[in-house]
Amino acid sequence: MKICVTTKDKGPEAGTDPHLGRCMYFMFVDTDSLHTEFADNPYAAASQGAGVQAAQYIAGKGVDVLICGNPGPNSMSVMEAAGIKIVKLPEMKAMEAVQAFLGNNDS
Amino acid sequence: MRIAIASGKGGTGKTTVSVNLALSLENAQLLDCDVEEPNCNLFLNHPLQKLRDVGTQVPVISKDKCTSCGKCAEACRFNALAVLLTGVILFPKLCHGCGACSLVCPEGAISETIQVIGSIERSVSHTHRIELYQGVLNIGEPMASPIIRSLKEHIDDSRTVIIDSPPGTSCPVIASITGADFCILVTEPTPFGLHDLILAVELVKDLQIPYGVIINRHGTGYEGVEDYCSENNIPVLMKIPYDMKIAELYSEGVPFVLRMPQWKNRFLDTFRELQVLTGRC
Repeated sequence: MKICVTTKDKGPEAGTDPHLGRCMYFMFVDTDSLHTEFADNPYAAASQGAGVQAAQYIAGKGVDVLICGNPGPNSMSVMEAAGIKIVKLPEMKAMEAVQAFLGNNDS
Repeated sequence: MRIAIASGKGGTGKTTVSVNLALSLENAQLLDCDVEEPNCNLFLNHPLQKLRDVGTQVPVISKDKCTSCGKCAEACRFNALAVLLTGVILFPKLCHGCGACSLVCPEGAISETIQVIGSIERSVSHTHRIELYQGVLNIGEPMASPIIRSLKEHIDDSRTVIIDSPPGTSCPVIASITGADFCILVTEPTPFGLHDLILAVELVKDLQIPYGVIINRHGTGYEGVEDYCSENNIPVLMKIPYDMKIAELYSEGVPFVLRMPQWKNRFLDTFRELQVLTGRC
């Protein structure tokens, strides 16, 4: 399973960003290989429609689950069409958010 | 002559100046371009009739022809299209109707349809001193500029045209004041009024429209606006005082030139000054 988390910074201590379209980075985690990588959000400074493009970008990465505080309505509809599960969590460290999601998912 | 009335800050008195100036002239045409909340007619009470709808083009995507190649979304400068493996999703409220997506689609899968976003209204009677046109943007629609451009198609250059612009310095303001022979910037004597006046001055300079300032609610003690105008050689065309009588008439929806006829002459003087400043006299 591939998880994407919206983050404010990069690295193991990175914190989650409540925004989707205008977050600074995406953290991608492959739960099978435990491989983690960060990517810049290329749409963070778009004049409009940042959420639409960010959602399309994430969908193109083959993500199954998005962890984000508060994605907007446009990006939500792209996620739904792409069959991506949206998990809303309060701000915390990105790795903790992944663990929180996986913990809830197991139980 | 086309006179645009603009401001940076909202609530400084654009409509007050527009309506009172229009009423002071013999044969003015008044265009209310503040299509998100047209309010000139609160002071005129003309019966209005709808002339026509205004629409923008939006793409229609054929699911049968679309191959999800993504070229349309790449071409869209407004990020109104998302392309997934399952097809294209359109966000009509983000679409500016430019048509780029249908031009680049290699499959010919995109056609265009008209989406109504608002309308144009006009005074029913032609016996009024003022001919009023106003644009109305439908509730929930985000794009004012197409309505403003349609509204301006009704300009009658045989009359003096007063264009009441929306506040700010963004696209709807540019759509409103473009092509004006003169722009009156209405401001108030506050630091906020000055701050936004400076932005509005930068805009009219960029658009190369001759301009001057009217200070509304003058006499509250703040001198920053007048200092700025004199330092930058900007003509102050009129100062409307912070006056209880004017405020009361405003609250009753009565243009103050109708009850305070000396002000009609002041507006006429200002109009003549504009004619001189634009070389029409």
